[in-house]
Amino acid sequence: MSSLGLYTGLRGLNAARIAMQIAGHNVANANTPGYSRQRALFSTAFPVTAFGGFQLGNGVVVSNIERVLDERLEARIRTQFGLFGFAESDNRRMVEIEGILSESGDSGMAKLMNEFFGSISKLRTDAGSRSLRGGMLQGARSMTNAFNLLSDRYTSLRNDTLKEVDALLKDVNAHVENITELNTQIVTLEATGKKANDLRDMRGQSIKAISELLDTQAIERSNGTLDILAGGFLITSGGKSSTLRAVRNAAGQTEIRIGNSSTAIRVTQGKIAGILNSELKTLPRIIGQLDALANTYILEMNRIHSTGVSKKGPFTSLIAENAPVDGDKDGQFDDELLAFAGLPFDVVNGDLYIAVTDSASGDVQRSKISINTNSMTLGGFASAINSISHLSAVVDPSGKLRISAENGYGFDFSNRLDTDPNTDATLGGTRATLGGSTQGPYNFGTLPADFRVQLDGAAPPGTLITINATDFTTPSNVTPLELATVLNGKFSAAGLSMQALVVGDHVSLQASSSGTASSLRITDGAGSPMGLLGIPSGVTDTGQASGVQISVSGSYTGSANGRFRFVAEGTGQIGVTPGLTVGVFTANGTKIASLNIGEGYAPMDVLEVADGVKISFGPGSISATSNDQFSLDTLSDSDTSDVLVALGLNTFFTGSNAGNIGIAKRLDDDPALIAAGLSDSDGDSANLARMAALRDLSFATLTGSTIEEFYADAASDIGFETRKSHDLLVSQDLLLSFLENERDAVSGVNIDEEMVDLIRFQQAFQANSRFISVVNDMTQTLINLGR
Amino acid sequence: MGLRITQNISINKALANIRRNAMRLNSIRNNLSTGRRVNKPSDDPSAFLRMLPIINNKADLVRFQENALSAQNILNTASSAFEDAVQIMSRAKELAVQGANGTLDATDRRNLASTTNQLLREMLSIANSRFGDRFLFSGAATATSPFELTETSSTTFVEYKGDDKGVSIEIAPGSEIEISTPGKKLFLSTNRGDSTFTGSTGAAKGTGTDSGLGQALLNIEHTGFSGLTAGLTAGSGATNALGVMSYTITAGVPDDTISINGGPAVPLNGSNVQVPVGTSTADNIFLDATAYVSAPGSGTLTSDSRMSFDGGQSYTVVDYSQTNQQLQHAGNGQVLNVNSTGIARTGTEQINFEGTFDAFNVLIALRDLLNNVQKLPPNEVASRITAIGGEVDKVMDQLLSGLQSMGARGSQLNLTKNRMSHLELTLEEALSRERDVDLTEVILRMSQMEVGFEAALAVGARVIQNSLLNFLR
Repeated sequence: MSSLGLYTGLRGLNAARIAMQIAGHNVANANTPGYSRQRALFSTAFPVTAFGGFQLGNGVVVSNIERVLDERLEARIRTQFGLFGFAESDNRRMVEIEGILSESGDSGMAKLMNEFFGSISKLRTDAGSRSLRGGMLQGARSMTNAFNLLSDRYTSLRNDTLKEVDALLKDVNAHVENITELNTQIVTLEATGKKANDLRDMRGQSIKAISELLDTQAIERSNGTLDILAGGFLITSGGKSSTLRAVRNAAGQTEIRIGNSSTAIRVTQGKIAGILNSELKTLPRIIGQLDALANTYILEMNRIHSTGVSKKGPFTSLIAENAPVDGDKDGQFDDELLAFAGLPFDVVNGDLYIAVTDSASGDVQRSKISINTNSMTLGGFASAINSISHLSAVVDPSGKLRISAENGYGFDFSNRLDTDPNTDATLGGTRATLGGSTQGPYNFGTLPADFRVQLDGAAPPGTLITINATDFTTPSNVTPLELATVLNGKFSAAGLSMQALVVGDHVSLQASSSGTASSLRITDGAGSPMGLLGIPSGVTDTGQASGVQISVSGSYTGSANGRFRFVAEGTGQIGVTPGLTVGVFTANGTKIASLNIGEGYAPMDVLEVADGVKISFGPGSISATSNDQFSLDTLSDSDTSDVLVALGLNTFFTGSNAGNIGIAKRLDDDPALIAAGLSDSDGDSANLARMAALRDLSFATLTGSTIEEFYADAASDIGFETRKSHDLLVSQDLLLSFLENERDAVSGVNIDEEMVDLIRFQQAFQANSRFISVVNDMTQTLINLGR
Repeated sequence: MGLRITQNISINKALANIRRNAMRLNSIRNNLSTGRRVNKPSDDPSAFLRMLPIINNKADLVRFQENALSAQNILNTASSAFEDAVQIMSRAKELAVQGANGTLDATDRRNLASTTNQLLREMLSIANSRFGDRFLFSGAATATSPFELTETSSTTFVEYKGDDKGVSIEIAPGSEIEISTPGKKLFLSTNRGDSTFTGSTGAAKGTGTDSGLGQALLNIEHTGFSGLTAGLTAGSGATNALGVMSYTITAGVPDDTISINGGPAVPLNGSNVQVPVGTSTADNIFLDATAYVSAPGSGTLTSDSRMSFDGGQSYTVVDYSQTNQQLQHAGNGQVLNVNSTGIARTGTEQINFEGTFDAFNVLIALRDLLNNVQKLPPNEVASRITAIGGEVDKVMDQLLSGLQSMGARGSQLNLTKNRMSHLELTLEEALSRERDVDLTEVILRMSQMEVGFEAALAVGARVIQNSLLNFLR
């Protein structure tokens, strides 16, 4: 019986020792991350039945050692780790992005853009100055370099995503492997019914590490193994695990795939999601904004520069910067349609005006090329230029257009006014001329129609000219140009030495002879075709010994391409006849001015017309009865097709985005080629004024903002996002530490508690020892009795 | 928070508090050391957005002020050149007054002429003044010397080689000032008056408006006769009477006689008969009567002529019935209108296009008159010099008004400069409000925070000390 008591004491000793061991273990691991405090669970030992059926207590046993832990809290912490990881890597990225921009307001891109516009404004003060021209190029270079650098840094940051994600995935894979191994050990150990507490803590740590990197779900099975899902896919189950890898997909974005499969998993939390987010959203947006900014700069500056004239005057030759893409891969570039030429900027349907200057006389002849991008090829464009007298154009083997002028001629694309618009002398000229007062296109209702012509004093009734319905494709809609071509064919067939001319949508008939012997008389006939054109019938016009010299100056300040038509409103001598005026009409027929050139006008005095256009009339006579008239093209945009920008003819910037924006080499080589003006005058800064005005314009490509506003918005956007990500990080951090404190409150080790436990179990140990000693004494006493 | 507080909770909390305090303290110290609240966009994104335009505007202002400074330098140079030009004109006026004095002889006048010639050259060098390497009065063609003097034995003239575009620079947002005015406008008087004809040909101003500038000479030459009858032809003598004339041939012995416009009857004998026209003996026609066939009677004949005002480069046939014949200068395209009805004799008519003299041709005209190039009688020279003196005044007025407009631009410039520097201060203030720290506030907050930080440290230290272990022995 006495042995019974002895064992009760022993059990008590053992239990106390285990409890003290656990307290020691707890104290030792007080600072171990992820450690959950352990606790010995005591229960009474199975009792024995003694004397008369009494249940006699048999002492204490340690039934189990448990981890004190709240599984739901653990899961919440895991989620929070994911959110925190996202916020942390997102914030790190944003700080890096903001750092790359290094914008403080008075350093960085804003300043460079301001300085570029400043350098233009500075050059305007002395457009001829070599040093200020250098200054403008320097300003442009600093800005383009900054564009290139920013684009390069952001692009490489985006490209580094793959490497970064790959490195983080290696961590994930290591943890997954660790968990798989722990799973096996835990199953083996717990088969005996005992908890593998420390192994579970280690496993918990690994799960937490994974949660911080990507979204994880952990599901515990009844046998103690833990299945892990990442982005909804199982990555470890039982003893098997798969590895994750990062690849670049077809769109150039980083993608996470499981094992060797091609399925991409979607990651929304954790550090990896943060990095992917910046690759997918933030960086493309910033790069896109920089590209839009650079693109607008290039397009708008080039539009202006290409239609300007440098102080060296019109070009004698010019080579395009850009070649088309050989779309049909036949090795030929001239067969590429302008609509699909793959040029950095789109060519649109519109008109290009080319001015050819005779360098000896200064005479300017302006030609218009109408561009339909769906029918005109690059080669077609070249031949359109070829058909302009004194110009030739070829597409060289590399696909670049080369334009050159004959010796003694030059060309440019400026919108300056034709200084001598009356080249055909349809107003007060030496050749007899009858003008039409009705604007085309014309509707020939009744055909055939006819009229008679008496040229140079021919006797009546004159030569009969008949217009037939077959002459036109659509007789109800005949353009002045079409009609002039038909009439010229008929005149030459009838042996009449005369021509039909188009004068700003009107038709004028003119004898080829000149001087006072030149005369022209038209008599309208059946169907009244001359009445339709408004050409006076039964009026004889005679040529003059010397024609009226007309000279245009100033520059057109109107906003749209248009035309002024000048019409004699009286008959008489310039500077002599009282009340002699010339009316000025716009293309839509609105009268905008009436210029007095009669008595009181000193011939060749300069008169203001409208919109900055000035004109002077030399001496001579004009006639209202003959409908004397001429027209003057007023251009605000001499290239509405953007073909110059697309091909890079006389452009300032090269490239099309922030990564490749640069300055045309020809300008770098010779700053005198900067097209500062619209003439070759040294101090002409008219084109610079247009460039400077860009600064205040809003662009649809920049969401309706000005260049500087757009950049300010983009930069402050980055600021907002950085700020937001910082705030998010702070709040997630707070939440995380709150949860960790919660966890610590449940699972953490309180050393005071453990000390108390230690003392408690030490006393229990002492008490049990005393009990054994008492039993021992009692046993000794009994033994002595029997001696 | 659960009931249990572990040491780690207290320590973590203390640590977090210390960290937070340290961060705040760091950012506030950073603000204080840079003096700025916003050093990067994320410091205050909305303030940053407001800040950028202010910074841009400020940079623009600095540039505008620089522009205004260079505009001022250019305008000052131009003004002083103009003052010199006015001086030259008043000197020319003195010379004209002196030259008009009837007591001067030809030598004295030639001396005055050579002084005038020097004035012309000085005026030319003033008009070609430069600022740095840019010409001040050539419009936008700043590299081209604006005025060019051509001097040949027969003519002297100054041509404008610049262009007619002004050059303006921006001195304030949307405000520009012209710094280079085309010299054509500045040195030329534009108050065109009626043209005056001086001479004895009988040519007069036409009804049309002239476009000539300064002075011109109209030459009228006899070209032949029309309406001659009875075998009469032009004689070899220099006919100087022009126009439509009535004649009466009277039979006589030995010769028939002819009388023109009621003048004396002259026998028609020989190859060069001088016939006075009317009662004046100065106007004559010369006829060849060798083929004369007696034909008494009366009728009209015309002494034809042609005229030129470009020194014989182009001629216009005189039509004696026209009140307005328009002549054009083949060289410069200028127009002269002549009333031909009164033309009665050959000769040279001097035409003054009143009010259109420029600083150069008025000096040239004065010089030529002082030299008496046309060999005029002394009293005629004196009166013409007086007339030119009047033109000198007009040119001077023109120069003075140019000087005045420069002065006006100068004061506009000053006003703008003042406004700009005021605006710069306003912007500086606005920028400072957005970007800079309020020192008192920040310093106060910093000391507050330092106190808080120290408290956090102290609490941390106490938390770590307190443990049951301290009391167990």
